[in-house]
Amino acid sequence: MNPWVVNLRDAAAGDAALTGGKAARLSRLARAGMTVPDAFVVTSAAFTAHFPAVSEVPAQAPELQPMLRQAIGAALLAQFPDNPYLVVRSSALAEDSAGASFAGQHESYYYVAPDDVPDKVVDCWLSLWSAPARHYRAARARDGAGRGVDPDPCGELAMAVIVQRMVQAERSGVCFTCDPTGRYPDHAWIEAAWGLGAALVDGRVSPDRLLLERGGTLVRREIGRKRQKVAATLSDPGDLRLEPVPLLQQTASVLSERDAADVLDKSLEAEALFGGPQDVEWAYQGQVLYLLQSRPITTKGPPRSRTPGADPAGRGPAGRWVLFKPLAENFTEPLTPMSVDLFRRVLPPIGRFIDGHYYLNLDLAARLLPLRWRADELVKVLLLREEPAALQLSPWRLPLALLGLAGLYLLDGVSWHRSARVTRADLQDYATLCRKLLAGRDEVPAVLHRLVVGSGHPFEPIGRRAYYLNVSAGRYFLLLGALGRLTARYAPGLDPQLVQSLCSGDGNTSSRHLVEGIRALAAIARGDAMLGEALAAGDPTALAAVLDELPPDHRFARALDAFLQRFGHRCSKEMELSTPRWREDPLPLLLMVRSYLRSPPGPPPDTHADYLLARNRIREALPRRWQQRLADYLIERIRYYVSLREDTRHYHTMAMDVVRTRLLGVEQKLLATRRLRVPGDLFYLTWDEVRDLEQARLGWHDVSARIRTRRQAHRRIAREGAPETIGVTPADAENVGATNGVDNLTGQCASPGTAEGRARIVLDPALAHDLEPGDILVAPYTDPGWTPLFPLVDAVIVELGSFLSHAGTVAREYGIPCVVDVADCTRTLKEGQRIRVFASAGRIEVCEP
Amino acid sequence: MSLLAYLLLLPASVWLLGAVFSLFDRGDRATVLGRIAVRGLPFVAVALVLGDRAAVPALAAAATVATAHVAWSWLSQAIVRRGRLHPNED
Repeated sequence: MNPWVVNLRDAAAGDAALTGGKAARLSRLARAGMTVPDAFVVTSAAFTAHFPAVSEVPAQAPELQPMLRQAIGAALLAQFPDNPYLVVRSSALAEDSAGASFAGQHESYYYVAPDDVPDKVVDCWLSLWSAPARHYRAARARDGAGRGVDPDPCGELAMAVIVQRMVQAERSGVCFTCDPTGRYPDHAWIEAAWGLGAALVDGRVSPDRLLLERGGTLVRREIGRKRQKVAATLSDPGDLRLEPVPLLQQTASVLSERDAADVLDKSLEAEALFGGPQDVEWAYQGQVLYLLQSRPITTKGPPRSRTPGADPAGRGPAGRWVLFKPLAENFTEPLTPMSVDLFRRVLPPIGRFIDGHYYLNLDLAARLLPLRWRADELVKVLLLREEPAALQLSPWRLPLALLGLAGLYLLDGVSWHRSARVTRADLQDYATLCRKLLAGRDEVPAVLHRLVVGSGHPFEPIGRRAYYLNVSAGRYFLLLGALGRLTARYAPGLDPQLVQSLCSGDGNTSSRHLVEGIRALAAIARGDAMLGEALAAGDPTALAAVLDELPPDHRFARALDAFLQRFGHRCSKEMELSTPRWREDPLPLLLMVRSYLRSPPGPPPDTHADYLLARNRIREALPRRWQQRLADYLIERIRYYVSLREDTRHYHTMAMDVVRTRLLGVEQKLLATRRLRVPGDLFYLTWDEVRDLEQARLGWHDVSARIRTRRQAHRRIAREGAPETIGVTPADAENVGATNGVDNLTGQCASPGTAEGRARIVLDPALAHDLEPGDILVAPYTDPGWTPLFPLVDAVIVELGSFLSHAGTVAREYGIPCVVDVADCTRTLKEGQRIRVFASAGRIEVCEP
Repeated sequence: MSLLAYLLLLPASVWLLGAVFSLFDRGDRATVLGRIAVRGLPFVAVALVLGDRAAVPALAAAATVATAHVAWSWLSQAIVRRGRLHPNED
């Protein structure tokens, strides 16, 4: 046997000390009879011969010794006589161990021609000293030392290299034989995407996610929007092989139920072989299922709370942090590094971003508030879960707090009063400012600063000062509390739900106009046979073709154009700068039009009549005239601020659109100069890094590893979810909003009422194709991109949120029951299950299992 | 007495200037002027009590608030623009 090159199917390849964790495990799979691509391994002995001193970063790449070059040539000739494309993969000695996966830390090369293999072997070796790999090793060592378990979990520093036949995969993905988050014991997850698995592993696509019982029964299927894939064939050798997925395929399911069961079956065989839960990479070439890698699952932890430093990489800030609900409810996925970097520059210093989510500083809040609450009580209040039983003022902190408030009023009170009566004409100023900045030459952070914080000029029109408008609109919550206390004291017999029902907009909000716009588009499409058929058929490719052929003066084309002029900056997840807007990608919008076409929603409710009725009942219940006048004032102001809140959201998302457009302009230039290679990668850099790329202080090779590491981290965090608290675990936080047995779920009432119907679990509004009256929308979160779905359903249940949420505001406007903050409802409830919603009590009852 | 008038007129000045600065916004001008007239009432009340002696504390209170407002607008902007609030985050 040659000590430097061994066949993967030889018994020697199963020795991890010789071939590294990845190769050894692949060898065991191959020898157990599983379908693994042909390969040979350049062993760690060859590495050691070329790098005698591994503790230092090598000054230059070593020259390959003739003996090794000869051995590689012989192996290529013996195993790959047909001259195929190959994959050259790193297999470090510590890789894929139970202590450290090293996922994505070392290099792998695809589409390698046999002649290039020796060079790529050297490149793989050198990736052992790449910045991400060194950082990972340092973090693991720090983490291990801190816990007193294993100061060096990374083992010996050496690397073998696998040279493997490349699978020309049409479909690929990952299978977790147990749920890595620990939420679903006895269940497995499969992630699947089109093309090669590299796009999925690198976090470049949103894959389909399938939850299966370990017996093979499919429990749920989450369809991802798979916009791009890594092609199975190499069209451009200099390119990164990413190509767009045809429209029809983007929302199509990658795996049939039977294929998914086969993937799970093979993965469970791997689990049995290795004796523990596995994370298995798989790929289909035609109908042949290949296993490409199997590693132990290393991450597992509860998502609702986390202790500092509990991160697998040893990160995490000190202190106590609570998820900031008003931001968190807009999206469940973490923000990309670029969004975090830009937003952190304009957000107030009351919190910070951790893993792409914004957290409030609990210690700071405890110091600022003149109250004697325990940490767990404060957490519940900050999570907007419940009102405290009593204020429990702290006598020595109260004077300081009052003094601080008086000072703040002196400094900022003028703007506070000025923002109390903002007209819709004032808001138009914001649109004007956006157009001006879009055409300007300011740097991107300056643009965002100007749009969020303002110019600082004291005479600047209030409509251009997003920060004040947002604070202003939030006043309705205080006024609502005042009205509640007034009625509770002087009209104790009054139903408290009556007060809450006043918290809808004035019927003229931008959300209402948006829904009416989609309704109008559906009405026009209904009148055009060809367009109506294309929309109703549900074939996005055919729909795109029909739209392309529409003459510009066609009624639908004109209406769509007018709609996009007004609402083209909207989309789902609109706070995230990497999200395409409807103007760029109208498919989600057209799918909503299709939903309206299939099941036309009823006419908009006359909430004004309900409002008048509620107002009169409150007035009649109050005995004194001053009380009635005060109630009238509060009700008028509440209605005004609720409308302002919806309208400001419409205008302020224009800021995200402007910033995104400017970023895309920068990205185009970087792509043209080859400093970036893939559209979308810019959002995984910080602004300073982008500036360095622009000024050629950095190049593609400096940032490509960072981008890949951050994409992978983003994908991991998105999969695991954000903990609600960090550094503090209130005694009963686990129970708040949690499932109460299998038949009942509880949450908070955001819009009162009762409804019964089929649970329709929707994870992406663009993929909600067939909602019907009688359905109950079950969603992880809602933002204005979800608004058009509300008129289609009888009730709404949301995982995140509070009474202040967008979901509640819109549900109240449409008079439909809504329960928010129902933990894990998208996972606990089953698609099509019959449920009953008692929104006023914040309770959901499962009628059938 | 002047000091007391000054302290009383400080919040009244904030309230009044809130309406005065609204003249730069797009709201109905007549409504804004009406609001200014109403918010000037605390100044009228102090003038009725103190007579001529109200002039200094009234002007001082208005000047204090206007200066604080303008200074704070510029200062807070400068702090945010220089990125002093979140220097090193993940």
